[in-house]
Amino acid sequence: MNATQMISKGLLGEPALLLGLIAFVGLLLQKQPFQRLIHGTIKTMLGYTLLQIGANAAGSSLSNLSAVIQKGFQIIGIIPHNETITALAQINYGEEIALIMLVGMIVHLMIARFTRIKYIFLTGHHMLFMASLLAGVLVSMSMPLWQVMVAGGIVLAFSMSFAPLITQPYVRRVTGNDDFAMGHFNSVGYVLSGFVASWFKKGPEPPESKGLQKLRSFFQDHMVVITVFTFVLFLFSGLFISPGGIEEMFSGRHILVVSLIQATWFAGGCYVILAGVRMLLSEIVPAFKGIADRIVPGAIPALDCPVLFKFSPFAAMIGFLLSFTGGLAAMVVLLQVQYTVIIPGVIPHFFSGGAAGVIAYKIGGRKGLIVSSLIHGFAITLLPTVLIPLLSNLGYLRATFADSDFSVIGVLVHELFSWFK
Amino acid sequence: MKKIIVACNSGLGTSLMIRLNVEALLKEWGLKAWVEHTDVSSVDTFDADLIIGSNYVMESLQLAKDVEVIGLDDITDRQYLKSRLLDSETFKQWLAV
Repeated sequence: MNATQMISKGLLGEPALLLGLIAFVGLLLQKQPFQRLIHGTIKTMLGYTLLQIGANAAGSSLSNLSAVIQKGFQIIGIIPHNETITALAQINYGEEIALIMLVGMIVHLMIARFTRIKYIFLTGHHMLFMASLLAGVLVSMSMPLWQVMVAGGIVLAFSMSFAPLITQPYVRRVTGNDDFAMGHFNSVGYVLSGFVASWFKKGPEPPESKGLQKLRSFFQDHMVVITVFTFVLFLFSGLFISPGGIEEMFSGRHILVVSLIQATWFAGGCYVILAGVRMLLSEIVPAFKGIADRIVPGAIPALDCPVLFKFSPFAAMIGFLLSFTGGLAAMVVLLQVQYTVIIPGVIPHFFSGGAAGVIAYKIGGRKGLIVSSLIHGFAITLLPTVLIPLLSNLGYLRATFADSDFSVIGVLVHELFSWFK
Repeated sequence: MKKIIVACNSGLGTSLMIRLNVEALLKEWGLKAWVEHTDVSSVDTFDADLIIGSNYVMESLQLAKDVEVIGLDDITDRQYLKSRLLDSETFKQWLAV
């Protein structure tokens, strides 16, 4: 092995090392002390490894769930869950994803520096999710690595600049200023929500009820919510199979035991993935922000969607519940027309539906909130169906991306690059 | 060393943003502390001196231990964060030393 091979196969070919290297250079540029340098680099690599470990656990539970659903209902149930699909994509496309992120961050900073679109997208995990989507779609079109990296990076950079740009008119109506923007890849959903809500007039604001407050408090702990939700899904789907069928599938165990164990495996896997993503990004995002602060003075930070929740916790909760209801309606429609069904996920509806609810409520009052949230939930549940065939080369998996921009950009990129060929 | 935990729903975006602000303020004051961000489920596992997060999320915390919690109404405003930190018992003791 010569030096070039050592670099391309040994150093850059392994995503954990590649990401570690990116973190290392970032920390070096910030002139961090030696201890911090080692610490940050190792934690980035560890984070990546956690991602892979979690993906195995969550993936195994997910494939069991889909086997149960398929047997019980004669359909394929697909769960939109960003963390899981990203972790699964990392297994095969880690190198591409890391390089797309690197190019994407550089081009995004250039857009903010040289154009009037001064948003800096700081939601690191969504950056990672979008890079994973782009890697999945572009690699399936059999492009060489450098093209995947350049094309993916440019599309990622533009998405990061345009998502805050198109939602800002609505976000401004909620917050009253331009202090921050939304850096969350459900911008299509937010625009839809704001647009629908603008048909309605805003009334007086009702106070939040005690019951709603309690419910809200329950939904804050996602690990508990994911476990309960997956348990119910397993149990419900299992009831449609004869008891013998379940015992046959899971070496003689009772359906209750199977559901409980599988639910905790899925949530446990998600927890490990989240811990990995957190470790990975806690080095990269501050570095990115540090560079952005220096080269783009006066930039507007684009932040994660819960920043909107405090403007109306009431609307966030109602937005989530109705968005989820809209999602269930979309699932019923899908059941009628096709074999593949999107099972609405609690987490995407909680975040995207909640923020969309706040926008709808601030613009269209109570009526706006109700109508808009139902439509929003329906739309974001249907959208991923167009994405499924494009992600088929990620292998056998029953997960997909959850938020609207991933579907829209996935399809656009696929169309655009098939046209070039 | 003092341990500060910043928490949000999934421990990814919001908590990291607040953490960056906390770290900037610590630097301004010349204080050294161990700051970590995480999700609500894991808060109790950290044995922290201070827990910070949006009010929206902090209301749901059920902590086993007696530890100071700062629930923020505004999670983006650094000046507001600064005044809340300066008001907290933990920081008062800390700055007095």
